[in-house]
Amino acid sequence: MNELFGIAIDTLLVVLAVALAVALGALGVLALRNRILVKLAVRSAARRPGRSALIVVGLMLGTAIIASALTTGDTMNHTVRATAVDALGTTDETVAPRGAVDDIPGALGAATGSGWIDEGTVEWVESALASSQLTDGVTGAIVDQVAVQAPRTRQSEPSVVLFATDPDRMEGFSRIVGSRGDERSLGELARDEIYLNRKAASKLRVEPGARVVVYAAGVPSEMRVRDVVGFEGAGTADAALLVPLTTAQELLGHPGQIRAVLVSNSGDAFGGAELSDRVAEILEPVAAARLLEVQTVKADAIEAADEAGAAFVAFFTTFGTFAIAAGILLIFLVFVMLAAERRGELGIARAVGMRRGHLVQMFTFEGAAYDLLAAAVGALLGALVAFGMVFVMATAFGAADADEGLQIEFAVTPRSLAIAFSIGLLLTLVVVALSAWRVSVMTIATAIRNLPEPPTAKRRRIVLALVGLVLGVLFTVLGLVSNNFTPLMLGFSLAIMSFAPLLRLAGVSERLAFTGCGLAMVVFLLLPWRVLEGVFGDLAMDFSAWIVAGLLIVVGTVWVIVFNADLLLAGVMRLLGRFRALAPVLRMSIAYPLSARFRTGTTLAMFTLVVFTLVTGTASNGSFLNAIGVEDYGGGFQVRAGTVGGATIEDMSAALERAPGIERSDFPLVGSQSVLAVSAKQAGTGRPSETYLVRGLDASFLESTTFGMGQIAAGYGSAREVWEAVRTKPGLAVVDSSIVPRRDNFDFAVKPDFALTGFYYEEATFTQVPVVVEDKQTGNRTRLTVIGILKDTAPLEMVGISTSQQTLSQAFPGRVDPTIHYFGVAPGVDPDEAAAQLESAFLVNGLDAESIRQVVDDALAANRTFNRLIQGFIGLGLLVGVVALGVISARAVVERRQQIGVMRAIGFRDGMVQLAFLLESSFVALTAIVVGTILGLILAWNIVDDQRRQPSWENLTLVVPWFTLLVIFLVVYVVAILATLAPAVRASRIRPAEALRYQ
Amino acid sequence: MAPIVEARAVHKTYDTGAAQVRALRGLDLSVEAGEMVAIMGPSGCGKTTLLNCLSGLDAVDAGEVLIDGTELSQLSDRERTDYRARRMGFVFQFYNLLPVLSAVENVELPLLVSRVRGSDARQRALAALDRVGLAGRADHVPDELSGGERQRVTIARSLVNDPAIVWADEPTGDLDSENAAEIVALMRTLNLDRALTFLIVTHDIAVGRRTDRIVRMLDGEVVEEQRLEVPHVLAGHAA
Repeated sequence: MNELFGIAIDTLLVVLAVALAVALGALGVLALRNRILVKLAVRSAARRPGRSALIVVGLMLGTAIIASALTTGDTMNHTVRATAVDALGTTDETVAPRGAVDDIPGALGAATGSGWIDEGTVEWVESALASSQLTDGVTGAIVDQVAVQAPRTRQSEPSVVLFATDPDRMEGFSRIVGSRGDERSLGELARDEIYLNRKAASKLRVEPGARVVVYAAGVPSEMRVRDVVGFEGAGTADAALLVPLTTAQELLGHPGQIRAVLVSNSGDAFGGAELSDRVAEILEPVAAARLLEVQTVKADAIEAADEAGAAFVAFFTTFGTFAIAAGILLIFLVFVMLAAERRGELGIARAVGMRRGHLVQMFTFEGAAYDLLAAAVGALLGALVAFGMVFVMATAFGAADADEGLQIEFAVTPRSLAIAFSIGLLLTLVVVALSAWRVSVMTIATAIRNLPEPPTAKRRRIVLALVGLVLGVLFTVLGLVSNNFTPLMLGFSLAIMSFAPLLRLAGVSERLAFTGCGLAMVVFLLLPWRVLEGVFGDLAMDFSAWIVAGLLIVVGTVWVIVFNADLLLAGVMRLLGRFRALAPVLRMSIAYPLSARFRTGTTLAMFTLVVFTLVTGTASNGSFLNAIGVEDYGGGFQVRAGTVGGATIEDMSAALERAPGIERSDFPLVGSQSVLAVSAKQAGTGRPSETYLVRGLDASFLESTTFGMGQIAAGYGSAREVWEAVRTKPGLAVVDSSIVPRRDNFDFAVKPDFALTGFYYEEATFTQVPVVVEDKQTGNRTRLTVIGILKDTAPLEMVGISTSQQTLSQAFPGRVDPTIHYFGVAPGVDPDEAAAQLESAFLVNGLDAESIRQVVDDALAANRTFNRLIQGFIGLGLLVGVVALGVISARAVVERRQQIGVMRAIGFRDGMVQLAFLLESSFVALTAIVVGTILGLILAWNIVDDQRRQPSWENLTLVVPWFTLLVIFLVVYVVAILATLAPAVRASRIRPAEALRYQ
Repeated sequence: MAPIVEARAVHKTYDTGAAQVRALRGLDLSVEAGEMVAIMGPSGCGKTTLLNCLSGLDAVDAGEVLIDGTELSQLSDRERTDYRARRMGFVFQFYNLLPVLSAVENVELPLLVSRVRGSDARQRALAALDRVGLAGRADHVPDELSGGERQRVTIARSLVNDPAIVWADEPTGDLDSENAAEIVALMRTLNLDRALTFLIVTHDIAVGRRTDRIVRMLDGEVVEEQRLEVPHVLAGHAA
């Protein structure tokens, strides 16, 4: 992972280190100059260890969330890197026919006719590198796909990677480790012997000595498994078999030829990649002359790993923003309450000569003491949380990606922990300093007597309001000029917020001013986006809009609630006050939250934020998942299958007629595809060519497919019309939606380098786009015209530029034999059984089949688990709310000690005192649940409504997962009550005689 | 007349950790129904402890306390609490009103605790406030009231449930002399008009002089009792 928040990690580390050094240095200097203040701060912290522990917990949550996001990124980075090392071993570069390495073994389908090169190329590469001292191994290799059958165990694996190399050239490459831990060599193998790696042996359920049948290029060969070995670098992290080069050449019918030259750089599996650019520089000029290309495969894999890690970090930090915001509110609340508790002492301190600056320093010292501890614990706790998340992710992706050999492994780097620690520490320190400044503003006389602080000076309020107003207008203008939703929304809301104090100054009542402005903000932010776009025109939107809108909606709502809680609670009182036993308790539990607006509002905001985010995320994601079905994934077919490139089935329909064990009538619909990695660019844009895929769809596929279009070029009326045009007019094509630019960006996925320009996916239509594609191996090129963009719901297996098979086979003869087949099954035929029959019938071709239902189920199961993971991650914010309620309740017990004494004196039983405390928390939690849910559902509806207007999601409807929400609500409520239970019990145990003894 | 309060050989010791403080040392006291008694004595002599033990706010270590013939130590905490709610009223030096409730809400709270219907409670609370001359300040929260007014609200709260006895701990301690005199006069009127029993802990001899009897304490024991003549009391009342 090289970037975080768009900043290079190394730069970020330096910036954070400097900022930390400056902050701690400044604190150190001040501490030396005012040791008495440090002493006071430390003693205050030590006086109530329980309270201090609670504060540390509150302060560390932000750091923990950042640390867990970064650690999840580390894990994904590590996982992708580990998979790359598993597949590549110490191979850093390959020299192969152009485009050959782009055909990734293991993915559905493969290019055909991939070039073979003369084995002598190895010597040429070796001599070119001889004087460089950059490499420690060069060898020729064959990496291909074969099918393997184990007759004794009746297991078949249609897709096993065959890796072959020269046994005498293994120096510098990974070791082959036998089942007994001994080093093995390919040279030991007889002509009819193979090594299987552990995954292949496990899938086939065979042990050393077993006999298997290898189907290479469609020809069966009986072989003996000499040993089950461990080997990194077979070209896959999944099932592989290893043979000497000569055996593979014989099996595949290419004596004296290889697929590629593998180069291992000096250094270990990762370190070697750093030399890749220099090695490529030496090899590229001469490779080009021989129509070969040098691929820096290891460096590319590491880059992909970094991108994957960064995507996960971006994802989790985005979803963690609300919890972090709630954490910041908590820090602020904690320090404001600490100050309130010590207001009298602070007033006296000021009276005897302490300056405001001293108070700020004293609080900051105390905060820094908590902060240092909290950031350290938070960073470690974050890593622990990430460990739990990784466990869940491993379950989620285990089934879906096992075939790709992706095994999620937990990883954490000191760098991530250092970043989380620094960000957490600095963020908290800033909030603590701001809180300290706020509490230092006091009237000494009133502080000493613990009387309420007189209202803020009129002039200061005017200045603040005007500053807010100006900023609001500036942001609004920025949003309008840049057609961006986030600044527009922020500016507009800021302007509305600033109106509230101005209205107060104009004599409008507090209730009216804040309710009016709060409502205006909420209504504006929750307006259907089409209404906003109707007024402001098309606006670009991304996740920042969701975050900013969420925060502002909650602020507005909390204003409305807090300034009207008396009405709300009067209603509650009228309703529940009928129960006489409850009436006095209700009276108290309503009166206290009403009298402490700041505390109630802040806690309510924290809880509401978390509930709101959970509900929005759960409802909108649930709706999207609900909208994806077999039809979207299958395009009208029920089974899909891929064969190896060396044993293609030219005419699947005819092959089915004669296939053993297949009832032809079970498969009334058959469509085939070819696939080829090409160099592609949009004509007339001057942009460089990038690697992408083209697919050739045969006439039957084009006639039958129901894959929908998200966007259709002008002149075409429907998806069917587009498919018909592709079928009947050579040169026309459709593309998947990932390469089309969009105004809104709610996607964390890594985008392909190849992209179209000149229009947006959100627009109703587009002008046909010409693209030029070139087969890198043969240099053949053709021009295609894009007339349709597939829906977002199309499966990954439709990624690429899809044209007719006829067009492709004319442009790239011999390179695009069909290797992917789609089947429609007859009514009553089980797709899963049909897939198994197909695999069995076409084992010789290495046909790997799966029912679309299974594919969808796997994908949805993984998505649902991932969604739950995200919910859990957002739910971390609940901890913030819990701590807030704990702090507030604990503080209330101290503050109300005497009042509790009075209540007990006039007849409140201990249980009634407890109940009053619990009802207070219930008020906050239940209000947050109700309000957060309503707001969350409205926003989710807006998201669904907006998406419904976008291509791909016309049938999207809001599906509210009430059961999931109910569980969430229950958790929120229970944790709120649990957080208050201990202080409530403590309060009920206060002895009235003692409580009443002192003022 | 039968005593409404009867304390026999009451002992109470506080353990402060560093030392044991014998607050009450075998104290005997009897108060008749309708009587207004002042407990006086120097700081630390055990006045407030006595009030707390007699009212059931605190438990005695030895001896017995009977209120209206009911022995408090035999009651559970819950029963004692319920008994307080029904039969007792409290007036404190620092008013101890609940700051988050308005005057009328403060006054009606004991009624709600006793499960009186909300509308009835409100009516009775307003009547109690009217009786102490604060009908017009019913909706004000304590912060908006003067010291004297707050103490009147406290008195209204103490009598709203028609208690058998009102316990007052330094009811004038936080008031100026004018307000103090008004409060004492108010309590005396209620005592005479409604035969309400008052037991008042006070430092202020001016308060003591307006009661029926002054009980003097020293080191946890009653050392002197002084019964005051009715004309003297009434003169104080008139003052």
